[in-house]
Amino acid sequence: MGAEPAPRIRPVPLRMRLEPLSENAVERIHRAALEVLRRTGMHVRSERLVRALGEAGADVDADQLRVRFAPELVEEAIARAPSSYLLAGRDPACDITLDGTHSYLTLDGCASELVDLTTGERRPSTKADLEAATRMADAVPEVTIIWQPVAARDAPTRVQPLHETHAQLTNTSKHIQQMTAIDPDNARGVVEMARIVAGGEPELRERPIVSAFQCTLSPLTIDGDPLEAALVYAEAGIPCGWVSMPLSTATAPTTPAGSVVLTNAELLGAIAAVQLLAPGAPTFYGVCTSTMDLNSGSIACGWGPEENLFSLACGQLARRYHIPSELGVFGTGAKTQDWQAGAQHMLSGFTSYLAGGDMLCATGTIYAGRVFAFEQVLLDSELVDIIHALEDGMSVSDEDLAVDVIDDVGPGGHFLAHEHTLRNMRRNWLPRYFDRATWEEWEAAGRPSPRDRARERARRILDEHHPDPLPGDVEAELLRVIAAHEG
Amino acid sequence: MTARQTADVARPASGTPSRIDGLPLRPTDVLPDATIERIQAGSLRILERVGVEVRSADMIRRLDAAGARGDADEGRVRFPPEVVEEALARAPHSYVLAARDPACDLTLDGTRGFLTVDGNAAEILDLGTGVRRASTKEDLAQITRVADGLSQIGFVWQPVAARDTPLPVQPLHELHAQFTNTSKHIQLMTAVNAEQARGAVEIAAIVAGGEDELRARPILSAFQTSLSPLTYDGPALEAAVVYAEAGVPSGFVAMPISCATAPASRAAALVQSNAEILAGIASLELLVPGAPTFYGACGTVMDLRTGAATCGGPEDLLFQMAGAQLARRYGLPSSIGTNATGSKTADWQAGVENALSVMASWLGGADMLCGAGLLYGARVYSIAQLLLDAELFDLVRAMTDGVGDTDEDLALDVIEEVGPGGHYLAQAHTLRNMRSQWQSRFFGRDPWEDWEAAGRPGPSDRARARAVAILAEHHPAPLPDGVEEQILEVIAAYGR
Repeated sequence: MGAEPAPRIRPVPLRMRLEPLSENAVERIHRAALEVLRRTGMHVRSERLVRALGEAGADVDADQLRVRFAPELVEEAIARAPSSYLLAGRDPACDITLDGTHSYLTLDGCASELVDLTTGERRPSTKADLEAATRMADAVPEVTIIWQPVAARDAPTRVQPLHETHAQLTNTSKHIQQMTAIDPDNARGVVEMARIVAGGEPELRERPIVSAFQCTLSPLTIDGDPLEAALVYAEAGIPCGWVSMPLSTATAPTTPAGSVVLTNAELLGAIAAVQLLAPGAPTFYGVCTSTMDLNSGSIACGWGPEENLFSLACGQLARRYHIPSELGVFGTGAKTQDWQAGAQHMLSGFTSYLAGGDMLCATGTIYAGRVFAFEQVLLDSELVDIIHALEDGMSVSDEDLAVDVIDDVGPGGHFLAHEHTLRNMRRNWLPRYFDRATWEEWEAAGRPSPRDRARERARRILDEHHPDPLPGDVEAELLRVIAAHEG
Repeated sequence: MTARQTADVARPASGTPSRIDGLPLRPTDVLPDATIERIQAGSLRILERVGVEVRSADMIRRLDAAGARGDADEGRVRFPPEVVEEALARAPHSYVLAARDPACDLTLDGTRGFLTVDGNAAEILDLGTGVRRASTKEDLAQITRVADGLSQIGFVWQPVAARDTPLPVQPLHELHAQFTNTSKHIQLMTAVNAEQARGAVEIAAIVAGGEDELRARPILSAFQTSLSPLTYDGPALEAAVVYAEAGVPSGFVAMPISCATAPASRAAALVQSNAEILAGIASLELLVPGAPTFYGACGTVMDLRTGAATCGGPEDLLFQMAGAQLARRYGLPSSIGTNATGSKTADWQAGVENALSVMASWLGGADMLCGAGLLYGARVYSIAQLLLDAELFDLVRAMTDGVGDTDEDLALDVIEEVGPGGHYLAQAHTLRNMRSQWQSRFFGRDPWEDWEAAGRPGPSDRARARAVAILAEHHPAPLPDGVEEQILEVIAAYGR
């Protein structure tokens, strides 16, 4: 991948942590969620699945399609979920083990528009865009897991998720997390394609190069198709998480604690449902809870204090359940890479990291997840780089402390030419996109912005980066799977 | 060296809006104890072996007489570890920065952090034209007036220099511009010799109603900066003593730049910065025992290409957190360099740098977060940036409200009543609680089409408009009759 000896992926070690909830508050929220599942329960929109859950021990009302869970049943079911597992890459150098020691950044999904890299204007997305975005992310070490950043809107709707999977398997050898196959047929297609690339059924089970997730519908609803899809994945050994995305004030209570209770209840309900039907299936606890803008009624476009608190609180809850977490991060409401985007992304990025999220989702969209921008991925990678540099902390060897050097230079001197400076100055952080030119240079250059530099680099990566190709006729087999599911 | 209070802070009472919003602190130690020990030992060794250069033979002799080891010929003052320790033990752990309006009094006790207007730039982005130009006394007055109307601003530095006033009395003109435009606490950073400090004390005493009144309620504080590496100007230390003798809190701030005026490695820069601050504080406590003072840290790194201060990289963040942690260890209030993005405009970089900077000072447990409004590595002031920095401070402050776990917070009955598939919009619980959700003033939340039709306005456009509105609407509490005339008389007397 070019001259840079950078690692293929760069997870962030988790050393600092922030826990706003007391132990007592964690328990209150846990018990409140159990109470919601016992008393209110969840609406599961599939007669077959409601019956199956009834047979597995849940208290079901088949007419109302309502499933209620006794607290002991939930506790038992979630205890079956593994606390650690592998998300494999096609390239083993991109393997990820979710074990609570590192945080992994995912590429965002799934916008239906993007900012064109040439014109700078917003337009609908295509499969070619998805290929380009995937290829760029393949070259950015801070991006460790690949969602589907944009929809392949020019592909036939019915098998669009399979076209998206095809576009990605051919453009990255990093781990792919499929978020767009939300019915059993497409999930089966994804499994077939992943098996072809992995080399077979046991090989995929051993090294799942694809994972997936399904979303609950807030409040407290699961559609039949996503739950069936989750079971298809579970059967194939593909980790499949659940993500709850309620909007506080609209689809969740307006109080932060109420929103967390609802999020927690939905995730425990969905995870318990799968564990009752497919015990031991690897899964994760995905949180993307946000607030409604009181003025427009739309999503508040990201990352005020409430969203940051949701991440911190849910990170604590996921740890309580010993289930890997995926916490919402970035996703600015801004429409371009301005102060708002920078501030929201840095606050949410740092907070989700302090929350101890195993997976941080996700980088690359603006306008509250509705528009993808290549340059945004690169700018976000700079933030991750800053967090890395913070994580390096402060070492205190004699070379670090340099008491003799301070003595040597003495009062009133300077360190510019000292050998210690020459030895150590490159350890200081260097930005890729921050502007540190003088004011005069900056004006003379036409006031270039970090966004301009990121766009330039995105174009260069797309010109130069060639992902590991699939062997032989694997791609032809993938296309045959798509054709079979289309027909 | 007593640990300061770090108890949880109750939420502010609701009701009338407060004039000042402090940031509830729950300090996090970024460095392990062993690391702090090594840094502290390094600083003490430097103070004993190398000492600091003091550019005043008289001051060296006074410090020597007070217990330090001064060598006037060499121009050096050295401090044995026990002298440092004894001197530090005399500094109060907690005190009040009073304000002309008592509702703006700030208690520095480790439970709350306060944001200041940053200082001291020589240039400003003109609020009307957006063009960079030299700053004036009128700019200083305007910024101070805006800050007086912002609840996120706890106290004021001198954001820009009153460059259109005579140099020797410039600090006094700055004080005049500020006392007439804010009733919040003023921390004077520009009076850096004994004469100027005396003038500042006289003016503050007039406003406070007398010398004793000023001592009882110091509406003014000040600080002096070390000249890195390891140097203090004589006049600066003399000014600090003038303040201390008048009961005006007088802190010390180190602003080393790694690779240039400090070693390149993070730990060494901290060793040196700590030594400089301790030298200042020890000197003051030797000469004026018990003087209220504070521990100011504002370290950054040199950009290897331009040689300028970078302001805003990860090293700065570690310096912020470590600086606050060291201050806590010594039981001293901390003043921590915060914000002051390296960017030249309120862009993505400014958002990134300052958001993380506020987080770092909050996590570190800074008593004073300094400050808001500077661009270009502290060289250019922007009123729009002042408002944007205040917004991020407010966002982080709102995070400290936490999640809550009362029955009303948890809302179990509401969840049951709405049930699966419903919505919460019309619930009484929603109407009761939704207004406690944080509201952004400057984030853009309009549809893309509206935004394009409006010419793609940005957060700084909204911030500028708000600044103009504050200037039109906000009227700071006036000084009592005759006070301003007396201030001008003092300035005239010192200007002769």
